[in-house]
Amino acid sequence: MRVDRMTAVGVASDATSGTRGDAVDRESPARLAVATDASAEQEFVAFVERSKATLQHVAYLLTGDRHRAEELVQQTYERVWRSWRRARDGDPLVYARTVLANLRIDTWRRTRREVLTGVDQDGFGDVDRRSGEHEARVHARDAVVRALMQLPVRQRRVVVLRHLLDLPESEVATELGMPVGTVKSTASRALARMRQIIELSEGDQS
Amino acid sequence: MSSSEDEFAARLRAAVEGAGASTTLDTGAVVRRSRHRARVRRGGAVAATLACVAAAAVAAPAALGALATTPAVAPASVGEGTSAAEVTAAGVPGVTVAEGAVAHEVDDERTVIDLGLDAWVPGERFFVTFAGASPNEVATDDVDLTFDVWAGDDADLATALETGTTPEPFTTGSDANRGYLVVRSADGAHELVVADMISFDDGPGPGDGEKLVLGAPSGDLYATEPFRTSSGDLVQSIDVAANPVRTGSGWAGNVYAVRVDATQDAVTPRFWAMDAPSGTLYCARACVAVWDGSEATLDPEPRTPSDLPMGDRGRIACVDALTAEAQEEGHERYVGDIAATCRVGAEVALEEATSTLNSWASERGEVASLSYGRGSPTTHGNSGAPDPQQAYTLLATCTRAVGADGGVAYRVLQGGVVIAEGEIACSSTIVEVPVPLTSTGPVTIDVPAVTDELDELEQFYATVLVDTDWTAAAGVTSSQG
Repeated sequence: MRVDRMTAVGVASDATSGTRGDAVDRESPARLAVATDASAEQEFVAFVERSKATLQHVAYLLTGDRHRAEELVQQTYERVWRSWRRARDGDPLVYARTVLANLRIDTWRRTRREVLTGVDQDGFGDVDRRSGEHEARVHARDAVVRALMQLPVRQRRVVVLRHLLDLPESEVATELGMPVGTVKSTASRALARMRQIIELSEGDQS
Repeated sequence: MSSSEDEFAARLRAAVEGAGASTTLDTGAVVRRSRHRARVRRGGAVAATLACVAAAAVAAPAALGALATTPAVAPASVGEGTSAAEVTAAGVPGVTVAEGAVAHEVDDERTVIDLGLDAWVPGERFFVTFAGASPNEVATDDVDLTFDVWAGDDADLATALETGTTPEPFTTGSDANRGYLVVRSADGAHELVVADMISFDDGPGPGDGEKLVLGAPSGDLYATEPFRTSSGDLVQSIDVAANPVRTGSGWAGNVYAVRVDATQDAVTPRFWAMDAPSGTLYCARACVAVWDGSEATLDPEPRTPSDLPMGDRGRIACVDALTAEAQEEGHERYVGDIAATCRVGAEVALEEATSTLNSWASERGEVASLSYGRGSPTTHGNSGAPDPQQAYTLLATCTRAVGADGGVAYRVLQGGVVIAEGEIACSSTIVEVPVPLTSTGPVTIDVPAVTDELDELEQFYATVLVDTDWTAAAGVTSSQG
């Protein structure tokens, strides 16, 4: 197998760099470009505001760690911003989710040792934290998140997108860059594995 | 999907609805950081960067000591000539980068990469044999590669491809945690660094090219102008070409390789690498490149001072500066990382950098670590025994407490005896106190008051670290709380 020669890696291109200019002086095109940039930034700000909870949720499911999830979301926004023109041409949330789902998430698993230090209290609104209902919900969610963390990364991505976000298989395939058939088979295997893990966990507790 | 699967999936969805959706990310900070990183990318003309230290002769021993890797020793013999696949890094004498490596499949699970770099034995060149990426592993995205580095000629390569056997490798390593190997000649005059990364940073779109840090597990690296450390080492970043490899099993990745040789004036470049933890700015560079103590700034395009004083004053300024930025950006929880980063200082070798930048995940130099999230605490420690002759320090931080009154009391115990104790306020400040270890026994960090306050306390981290000599701490310590 021959691998083509690579040229030396050069400066990474950037979707936004062409519009930010040192040459703003008195030239209309430059001023227009700056104005466009400002508008893009406003759009981006609005997008961040309305999407961060959603992306945080996805990232949390992928990592099982709220802080790591925030890091991933931050990384995602950085990339989306760099490609904001392209992202906003379509649905920026889908674009961002695609970026997020494909970020390297396993480094954390390999290097960080205090994963899932405990039960996250977020997302339970006004439910009394000490109530039995709350406790049951926390346990159920904790079991699912822990089971997710036991899946290989690819299966985890598929489960999160396909089953937990309930996206169509075709969309999952597009976002993860894999054939629909692979999504189907992976989702099925992963779900079976999740069931096995959770049932085992429930058995241990009973 | 069967109805049973549908029902189970629905159950899972219900269980995790809204889970983890609350975030402390501040929109303004997110946007500022995104802009900042975009600027840094434009300014940083690297995709993969290796930092080499061309040490002044008098400073070479220090540089050698700082190299935390344990390279294998290969027979020393200076080869002649440069193959077509080599590129000598511009402006860095003695550094040769592999570019255009050629991959040969041995079978589904093994691939030989011809790096095209001349070995130290005349007539031989370096090869890397990857193994471990079986089709099944690739299919499950759970690949832990191992790779051998060996040298040979065309006949050796042919034998390897035909029979699957190779000459004795110089060294064998696993990618799982480190991702790189160093082979050093017996006389210390030559070094080969080989690294690979797996599916890192594969975000879509043009302009999202890889920006790997050689050998580091994650993060970006920023190009810097050459600079000189306080010990006289000249640090220079160079581009390292990515050599794409796809194995028969379907694994795809890149291989990076650099050979460094002593130059005529007997200065031996040494491999260093620095990284920045993903999603944060607290890279070693911030401490390295922006530094005079009185004017600690975090300019994304830092000055490149000719010398980098790293006294206590500088470290304090580093902590102050980075902590201020962290708080501004809403990342107070990284104060521990910052402290660990800054306390190591400018001369951060690869393993120190990658571990201390995330001290809470560090295994090296860490005696005991306690992390309280919301829920039960986790306590960690390394195997082995601490050395009472070493200096140890406790780093502790408490962040975003709600309703906690007066801070959190902590104790450090060894053999059941309290050897350090105190209290920290939950204000994202860092407690850094000496811990006089009395024996080689396990060390425990105890936070007795926290248990009853878990609903109110978001994060408490504490770790006992070797103060200065991280290398000496390898394999040290143990603790269970």
